[in-house]
Amino acid sequence: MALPFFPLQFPGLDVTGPIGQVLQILLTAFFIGFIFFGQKLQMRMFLMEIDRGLKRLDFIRIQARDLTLKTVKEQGKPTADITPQINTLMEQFIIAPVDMDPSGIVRKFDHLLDVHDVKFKDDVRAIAPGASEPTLNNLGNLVEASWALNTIYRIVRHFYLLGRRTSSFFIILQLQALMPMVMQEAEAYMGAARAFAEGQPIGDGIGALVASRLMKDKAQRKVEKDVIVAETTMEDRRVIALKAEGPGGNVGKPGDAIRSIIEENQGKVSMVVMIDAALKFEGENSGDISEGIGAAIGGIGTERFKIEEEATKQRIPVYAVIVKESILEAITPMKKEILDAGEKVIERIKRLIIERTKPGDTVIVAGIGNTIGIGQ
Amino acid sequence: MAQGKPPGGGSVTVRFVLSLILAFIGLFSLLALLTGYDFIQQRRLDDAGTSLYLSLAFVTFLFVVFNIVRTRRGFSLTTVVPSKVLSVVQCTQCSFKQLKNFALGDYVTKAEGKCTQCGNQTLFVSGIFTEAGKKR
Repeated sequence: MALPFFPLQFPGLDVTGPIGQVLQILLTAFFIGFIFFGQKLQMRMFLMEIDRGLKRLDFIRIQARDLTLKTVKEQGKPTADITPQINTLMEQFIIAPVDMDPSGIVRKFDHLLDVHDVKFKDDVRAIAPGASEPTLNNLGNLVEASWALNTIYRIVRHFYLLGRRTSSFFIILQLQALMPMVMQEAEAYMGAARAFAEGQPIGDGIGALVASRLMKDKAQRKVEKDVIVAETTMEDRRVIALKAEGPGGNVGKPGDAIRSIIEENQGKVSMVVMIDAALKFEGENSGDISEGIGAAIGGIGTERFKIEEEATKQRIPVYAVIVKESILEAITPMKKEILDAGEKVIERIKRLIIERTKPGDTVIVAGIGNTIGIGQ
Repeated sequence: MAQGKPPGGGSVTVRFVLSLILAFIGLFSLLALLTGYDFIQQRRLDDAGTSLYLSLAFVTFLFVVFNIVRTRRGFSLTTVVPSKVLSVVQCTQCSFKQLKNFALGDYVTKAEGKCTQCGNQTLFVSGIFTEAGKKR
């Protein structure tokens, strides 16, 4: 088939002719050049990708900080400019205790976290004097989300500049490999900031939501720090449900609360069931439920330690019911499939109670997670 | 206070120009492929020359397609659009259930007053959820 109408008719490439020879020289030069400079070229491409991600991270953190400033001004009614205080909060840090002698480190961590919580709340109260207690908690969470984004940006920028300055292929390679996960986490924190600004429940709150359903319209009391407890009955068993005090953003100290309830009911608690959101593996469905054994609670580990210690001392079995979700879903507004999992979790708890306890027994059901947007 | 601006405004323009150049090279390589095919039909090339000619055109075309796809992915590295959040309002006494847009101050267990169906003061927010977020 002849194509005479083509504007570009290439000359026949005779490999022995001048054009063929030029092409061969070019190809050989490219091949040899690639052997020597391939890694440099690849590094340049990686640096460009990281640079793009870094610009996006900077954009996200500025968005989050602007949202924080706007929300604190609207809901906290500050009397002066709060930008310097917000900037100070963005750079705060905790120095972890020395772990060369790990004995008693949990107590030290617990003390540090208590001091941090009190100081942080006082700092937020100072910039938002007009906010109610739940709003104050939400604003605290919002500032923490902004802080997380600022910290992510600073760390990524540090390694990017370090890699570029030292031309270290391996620093750049590791950073480039981590960038998709870092970006996903940053997007999740941005979603969290929006949820915290408006006080919307997040995916992590599913445990608190289940406990809230169990304790609705029941007499409630406060135990320990920011934890609410109510008694109910389920399948002829006495159920003590607990959750962090809502609807402000709060996780409370469920470890202390469970320990104090076990001590109050000396020898009567037959089982502890903990409900929490858990990170799913890729390919799993959000809102799926799994059952296991052990204390289902995240964080640094101090609360889990307290629960494990008390349960072991009193020989009480601890069961976990988890709702699977991604990191993005855990800290952004609760998705429908996660909300719908609440009823299924209650059914699981009922089944666990029937199978593992006798009528008349006392069971603790602990709804773990951030209770933002979830009352009791 | 620094104002947020879209990520890499300048680099977006550069990438757009690069895409245009790539598109031109792609078109050029496609024409080269067709010309090579034409040469085969007319038997104007020896075997080695044809292979080299077609390989170059084919590799160039693949390179262009790959880079355009990569650039498109770069453009679409975007934010999750804030999705719609809904509150589920339910009555504890009857089957009444309603979805409404989330309003600032809504929370799960919040009392919502009188039920329009049974008339009792038993309406409350039983859940708050978001519809699946869409990527821009």
